[in-house]
Amino acid sequence: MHVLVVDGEVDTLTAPTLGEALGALLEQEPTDAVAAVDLDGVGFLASSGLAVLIRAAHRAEAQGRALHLLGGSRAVTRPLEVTGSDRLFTLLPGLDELLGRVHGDRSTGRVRRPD
Amino acid sequence: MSAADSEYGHLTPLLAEYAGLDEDDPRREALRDRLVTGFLPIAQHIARRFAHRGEPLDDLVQVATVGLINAVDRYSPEKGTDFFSFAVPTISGEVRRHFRDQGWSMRVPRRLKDMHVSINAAVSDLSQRLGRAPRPSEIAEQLGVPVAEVLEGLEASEAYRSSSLDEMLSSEQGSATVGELVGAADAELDRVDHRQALRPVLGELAERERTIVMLRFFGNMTQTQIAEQVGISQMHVSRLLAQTLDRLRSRLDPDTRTG
Amino acid sequence: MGIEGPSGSVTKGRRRVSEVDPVGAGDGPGTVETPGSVVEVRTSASASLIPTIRAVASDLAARADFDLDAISDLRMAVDEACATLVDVAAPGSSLRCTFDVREELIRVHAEVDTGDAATPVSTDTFGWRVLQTLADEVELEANGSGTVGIRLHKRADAAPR
Repeated sequence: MHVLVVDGEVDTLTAPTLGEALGALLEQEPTDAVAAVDLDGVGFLASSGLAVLIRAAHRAEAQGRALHLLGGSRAVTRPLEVTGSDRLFTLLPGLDELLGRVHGDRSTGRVRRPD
Repeated sequence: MSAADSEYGHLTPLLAEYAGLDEDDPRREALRDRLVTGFLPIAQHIARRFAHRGEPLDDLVQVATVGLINAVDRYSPEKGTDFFSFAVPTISGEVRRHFRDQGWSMRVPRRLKDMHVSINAAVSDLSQRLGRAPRPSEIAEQLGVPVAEVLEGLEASEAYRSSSLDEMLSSEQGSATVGELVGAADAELDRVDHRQALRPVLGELAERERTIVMLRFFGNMTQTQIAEQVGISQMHVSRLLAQTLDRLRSRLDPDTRTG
Repeated sequence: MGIEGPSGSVTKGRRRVSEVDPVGAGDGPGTVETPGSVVEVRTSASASLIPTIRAVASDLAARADFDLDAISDLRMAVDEACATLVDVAAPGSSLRCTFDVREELIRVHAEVDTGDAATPVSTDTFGWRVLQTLADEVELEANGSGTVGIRLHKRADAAPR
């Protein structure tokens, strides 16, 4: 599993950097089913940033895996919702939920055996 | 992971044993201690990666250890992934959160931090009740504070997430940094500005192809829905979409662009 | 994000004549921006200064008591409009951005000089599509006179999506 962590503002200046990092992320072990981008530290997401995320989602899809986006600040969710591009990704609140989903979260998903 | 395997191999059966214990099993605590102590070098290693940022190493190791404990508690061996690929992001996630909170606390006074927490609670409460995002005045009313304080708090929340992207971009896998990852994949990467690049490409598509791309990617329609709207078969939509995307991709990739 | 290059200027003035807000605005220090205010920001037409402009947009919308989604939308729309214009601006020219804060509405006009070799602004882009979605109204002003502008309106309550 690979998680790319992004902090700061993603706009026309920084989107190419994000694009490069996403490219590198998707180069890693394409057989691995999970590729995730942690956007919890992102305070602004412009259309240029959305465009690189969308491209990465399609590339991941072509590899047969889903791109997970983590982090639920309004600055990220609003642009995704408004453009309808939220459906291209698997959106999760944070790393904990991703790990829980991938590995099974024993603290919440645990089924107690009857005595 | 072969070096890691030999170093930590003896812990693998313990992980399985720990995962199989009931939450109130008396053996849990001792087993957990052994696991955390055994894997401690991983936490220390990750803490050292962040040590150049001016925080005392001891503090970072402590934070990393909290992450390690979480990882030990949550790991399920039956899912088939090895412990490392689960623990490393968990631990470094904990350390990063620490840095973000830390950096923020230094810049933001206590009063505003409290306000930030109150505002977040009020926003989710009001959003639910109103069925839309609240206004600053509505948040102020809910909290019984002047609007000016809410505005200040909102601004502080924004500062929490506005540090430079270049500085903070990092990747969580083993000890690889983004610098290394990017170096390895250089040839594939596009360095073009998408705004510039997409403009002529979308512009040169035929009306129908452009419509299909727009509906699919920006209008969130399925291929079947598009097929209905445009009046062709879903297979045809699929084929046109694939062709168009190939074309977009090759145009956006500087290496294959003919110029 | 560093801000560099020639510094911009921020000027604020009352709207002319009878545009004064009829309702009780300003019910406390630093609360709500008086409707009818005009704020003008002028920077060099450089992408590195857009963060400053979008911060102004966000601040004005918050002070005008826009809902949080509408604040977010306006910030993104202004960013988009400015980025589009900076792309076609003549080297060394400036970007002028005017915010007209009305009751429940902010009108934005952004403009750059394109010089002689004018690159046309295309509205066939993902960015423009996003801009249309974010703003309540958006209009491209390209009359071939050496300047290109974008005019947009944003209402205080974001339309439900």
